[in-house]
Amino acid sequence: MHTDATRRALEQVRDPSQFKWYAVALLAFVIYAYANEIERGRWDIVAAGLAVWLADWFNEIINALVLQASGTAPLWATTGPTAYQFLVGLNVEISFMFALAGIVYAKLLRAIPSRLVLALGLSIVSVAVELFLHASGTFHWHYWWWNVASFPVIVVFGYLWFYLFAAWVYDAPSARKRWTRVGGLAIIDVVMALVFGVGFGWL
Amino acid sequence: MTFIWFVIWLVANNVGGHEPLLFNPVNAWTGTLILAIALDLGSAHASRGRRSGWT
Repeated sequence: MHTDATRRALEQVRDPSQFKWYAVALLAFVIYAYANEIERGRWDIVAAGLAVWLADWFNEIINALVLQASGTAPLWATTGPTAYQFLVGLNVEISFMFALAGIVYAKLLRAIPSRLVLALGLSIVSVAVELFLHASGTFHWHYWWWNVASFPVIVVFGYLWFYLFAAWVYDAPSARKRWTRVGGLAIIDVVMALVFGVGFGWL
Repeated sequence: MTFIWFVIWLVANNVGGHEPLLFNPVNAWTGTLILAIALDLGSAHASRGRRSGWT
């Protein structure tokens, strides 16, 4: 039995009628940000950006699998107007935000070199935004252990590891190792999407 | 300190029972979290050690 928020989120998953043109403009902004780093030859920043984006896709697929396993609710569900909803807890606006978050993290490392402190700071800010979204009724938590009163769990498992993974990618000793690290997560995401999404239809 | 606090609270919250962090009023778990963060920030401020790296 799905919760009301879960049911509303599922109703708009991959519904083409939800599409809005501003998604194309947002895509252009994301491409511009990456093009800017590529122009400067900062492939380490490009890789950090992709690292956070891929890490979020990993979490979002796990989130959809939690819904499949429980039959009740995912860890988080997103509702409300969107340009496109990929998964029960992921819409195109969130995905583009995460596509930029890793670039923001890598660029801020020049000002705040401590990887852990910066990652923790950005994670806490992100959870503060989630608390606002939760209060606004567009972002829904169901389980007590992944909720307002358990926010450190969300800080660590919902965000912190994204940035620490991005730092590991950013600090890779060679380009080969850097892209092996990013590529490894990309392969895991694609395999999960193919097996659980295309194969079992659980996403 | 904050990391140690997190591990202890995580175990208590998920294995032991439901241990919510409450702010109004602040309960013991939230109070000790604030104390752990304060100690970590104070330590970093006092030492002014490494300026780069993971910590």
